[in-house]
Amino acid sequence: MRPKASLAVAAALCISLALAACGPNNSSAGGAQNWPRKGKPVELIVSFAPGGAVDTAARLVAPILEKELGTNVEVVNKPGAGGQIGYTALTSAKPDGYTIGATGSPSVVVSPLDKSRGAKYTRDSFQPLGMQVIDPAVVGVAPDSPYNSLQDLIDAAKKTPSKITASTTGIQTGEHFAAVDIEQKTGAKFALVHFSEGASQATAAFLGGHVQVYIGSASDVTDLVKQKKIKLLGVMGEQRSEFLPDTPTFKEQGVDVISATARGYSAPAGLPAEVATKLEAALKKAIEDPAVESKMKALGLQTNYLSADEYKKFWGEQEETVKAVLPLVAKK
Amino acid sequence: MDVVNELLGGFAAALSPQNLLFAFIGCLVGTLIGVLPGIGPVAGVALLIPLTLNLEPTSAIIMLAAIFYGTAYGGTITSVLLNTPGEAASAITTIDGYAMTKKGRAGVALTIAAVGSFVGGVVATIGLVIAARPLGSLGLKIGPPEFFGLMVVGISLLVALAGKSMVRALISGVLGLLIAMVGIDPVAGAPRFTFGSDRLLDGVSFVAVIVGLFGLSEILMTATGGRNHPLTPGMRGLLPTRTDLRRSAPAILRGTGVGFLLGLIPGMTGSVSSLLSYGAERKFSRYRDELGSGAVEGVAGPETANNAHANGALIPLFTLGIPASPTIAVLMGAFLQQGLTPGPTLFTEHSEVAWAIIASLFIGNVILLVLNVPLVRLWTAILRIPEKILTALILLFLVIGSYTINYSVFDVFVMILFGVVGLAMRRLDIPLAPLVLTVVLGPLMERSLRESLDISQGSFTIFLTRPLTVVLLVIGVLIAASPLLRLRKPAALNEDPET
Amino acid sequence: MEMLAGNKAAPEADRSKPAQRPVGAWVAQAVLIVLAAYVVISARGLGIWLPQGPGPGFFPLVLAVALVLLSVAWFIQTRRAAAGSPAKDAYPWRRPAITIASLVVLAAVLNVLGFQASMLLFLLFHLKVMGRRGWLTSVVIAVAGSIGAFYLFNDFLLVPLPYATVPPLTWLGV
Repeated sequence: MRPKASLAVAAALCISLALAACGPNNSSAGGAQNWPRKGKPVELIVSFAPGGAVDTAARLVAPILEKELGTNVEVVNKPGAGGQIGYTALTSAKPDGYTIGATGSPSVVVSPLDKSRGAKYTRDSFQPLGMQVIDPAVVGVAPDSPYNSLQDLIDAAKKTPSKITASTTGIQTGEHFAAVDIEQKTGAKFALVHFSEGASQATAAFLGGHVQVYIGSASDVTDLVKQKKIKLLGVMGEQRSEFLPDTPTFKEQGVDVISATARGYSAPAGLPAEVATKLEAALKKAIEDPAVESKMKALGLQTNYLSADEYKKFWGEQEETVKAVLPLVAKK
Repeated sequence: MDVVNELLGGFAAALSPQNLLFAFIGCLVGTLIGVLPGIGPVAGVALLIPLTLNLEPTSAIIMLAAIFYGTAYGGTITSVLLNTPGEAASAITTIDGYAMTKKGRAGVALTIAAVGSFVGGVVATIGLVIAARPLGSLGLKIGPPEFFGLMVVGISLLVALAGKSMVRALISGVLGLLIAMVGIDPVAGAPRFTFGSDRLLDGVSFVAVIVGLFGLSEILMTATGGRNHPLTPGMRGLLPTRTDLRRSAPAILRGTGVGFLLGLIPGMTGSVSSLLSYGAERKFSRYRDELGSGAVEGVAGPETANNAHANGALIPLFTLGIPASPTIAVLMGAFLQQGLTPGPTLFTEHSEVAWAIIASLFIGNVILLVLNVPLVRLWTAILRIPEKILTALILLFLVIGSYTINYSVFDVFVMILFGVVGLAMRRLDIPLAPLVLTVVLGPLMERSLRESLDISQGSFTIFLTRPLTVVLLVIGVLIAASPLLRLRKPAALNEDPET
Repeated sequence: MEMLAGNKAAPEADRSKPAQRPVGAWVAQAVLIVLAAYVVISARGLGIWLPQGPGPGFFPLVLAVALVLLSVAWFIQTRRAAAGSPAKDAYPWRRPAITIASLVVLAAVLNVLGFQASMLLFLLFHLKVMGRRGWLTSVVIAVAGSIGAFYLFNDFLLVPLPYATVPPLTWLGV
């Protein structure tokens, strides 16, 4: 028994040492030109829980990135605090190309602007690599509602201020900003109900007739539209959504409000130029891959690739809008 | 009938050898993963989604649904045997489950949990088949004010959880509510009691709290010599006796009702169901005085409720496309990755897939039962590991379990802190259950209050003008006041004829 | 019958011990009141009442007040009960204190030494030193629980556990 057992221990030790030796070797940091080193995985941080839209998109993109980069891409979920935990992890990682992350706005834009959240990053901590989707916000009412156009709704909300209830998916979310922006520009006033658990809670309350107006993302309502459970009054995109061709934009109806959730990928700032170029090219390939695009379409998400520079510009514009509205949505 | 035909078609598809195999693998893998620390149903399903991407949609969903049941049941195993809840919904099971283990009745507890889960799951699935649409809209009737009313009923069950001292039970409950206050508040979005740490913006991790409170504090008690040879599993009574079954039946019935109805309500989680079911047992069971010291009802009720909840929660998913709980949200993610949009359109656009999945829910529940009852013997063998070694292994479990919640050491520290708190509470005879109840219900209550008042723009009359809300609030007040009504009942009158 | 069994499993109170001051309870009451005071102070900064009902600080304030009242009630109870109640066994602090300390150390070094090395040492400590197991059992279980668990989680389940961040462990890639 004894020799056998000690043999087992020896074997276990040998195996573990052998395995350990195979592990990634971080000590010799290779130059940017031979990035990515074979066998060293690239970590893709998703700042939201598994199963959500951001996670799903990242997991669709990851296999193609692997092929393009020639190394493993591991999707790591670091959910919490509306993305802040994951964004902190991303921006505090070494800008060596081995850590990238999914970034979604407005969460990534808002969290550093609101001082009370104590975020340790700013916009400059991120280096945008490419944008994947843009999901415009929509406003809808129940099918049997008396409001048939955006103007009807706005007139009613002016006549009886703070009486018409409207859902958002939480305080300081894109929907909240959009609602306040509408109020700002039209003089209407809604009774905003913040469903801090997110879109599904808001949808349930809307379908149950507990709130009158639904403010949410286009991707969340495409199925409801098919079921004829919601009457959309307007979409807050530059153009009409491909999924909702019959819904006029706000601009068409004379209300200058643009609001959308945008999702893309970024690295910590300070990436070597060669690495950035490689990553951007690989991401473009992955995002525009037909199979990925069609799966995204099934999710109700229109692929809208923007290059790193364009994404950066878009980010800046969104920050300006948020800054303008932020005092109005700030804590009372 | 149409439904019958389509369901039979579904069974034909689901019973194909290939799909049966996937259901079986799913249950087995799910159970094993559920036994591993920290990985509950949410993480379990999320982890294994990539493995199913290359399967055809029906097989993939069948396997994931099976994994989902499996992990839920696996979580129960560690709750009962090691006093370490594998997932949030099994937290309350530790109280009587582990007490049964101490009495050498671990096998009975696990078997009853499997039977209860089976009954709850099957009844809820039958509900899904025969009345999905009306039930789905029933869930929608619960708006924020009604939700608040339900939470008041839940919190009022605190009084039922009091052991020897109402004061100490209330202290435990208030502490739970205070813990629940940590994080970004639902009112104004301001960080509360976060001490400037962004790790706390989401609040204290519930799993870390219960793992420390129950699991670690138990180990610390052992280290003080507080428990004398608790882990001597009498292999006798591996199977429940007739008395066990007779006593479990009403608890299983109540658990099915509680879990199924709460499962219909969007925003309710499985842990609410298991907690309320436990509270209901403490309040209404004939054997309520035994609860807490290893009564079979304390396992049968919550375990039934959480599986009935899990299956009931599929109704809002199938009828409305709304994921009613985080676990269902992950499952919904799996649907979406397969190019299926859950909701009523699923039945019009992919009718065969939809019915095959429903049929597989029945099959999954059956497999779970036939797989786990024989395995009970294997699981209870864990208890034969010498205590010192088991202690080290449980510590390993606790650390991995709390680390993997958010992949952060922060939660390990939270777990340790609550281990110490749990030790202090046990030493001072402050019951743990009220704290668990309020940690879960507190945030839901505050949130629904906030949403209600947003709707009414600050007017409290919203709680008095909606009949269902009024009924719920009255029930809550009655339960809360019940100890006052029969406060000084002589001990002699308390005797149950059965005991 | 079952009733009796139930009582046996309940806490280990020994009715024959002489009465003792419930110092533990008093300490706990003091801690709770300090906690409540802290909550009251921070709640005031959060805003108690808003136009739309209770503000972020409302519930903490109510809870803190409740906690104070309950602690006082508990204090009165313990004072009343102290006279007649049995004392608990003297509390053997050593082992639980060591367990807690070992966990704190483990958590502190987890991100530095990595999961494998720190858990290996932790398990060896608990098996060999605390558990007084033989070397063989200790080493086998410790290796399985650290290196084995690491590969199970990291490679098979794709659940990342921490790697070491200091040399020379980083050279080994653990």
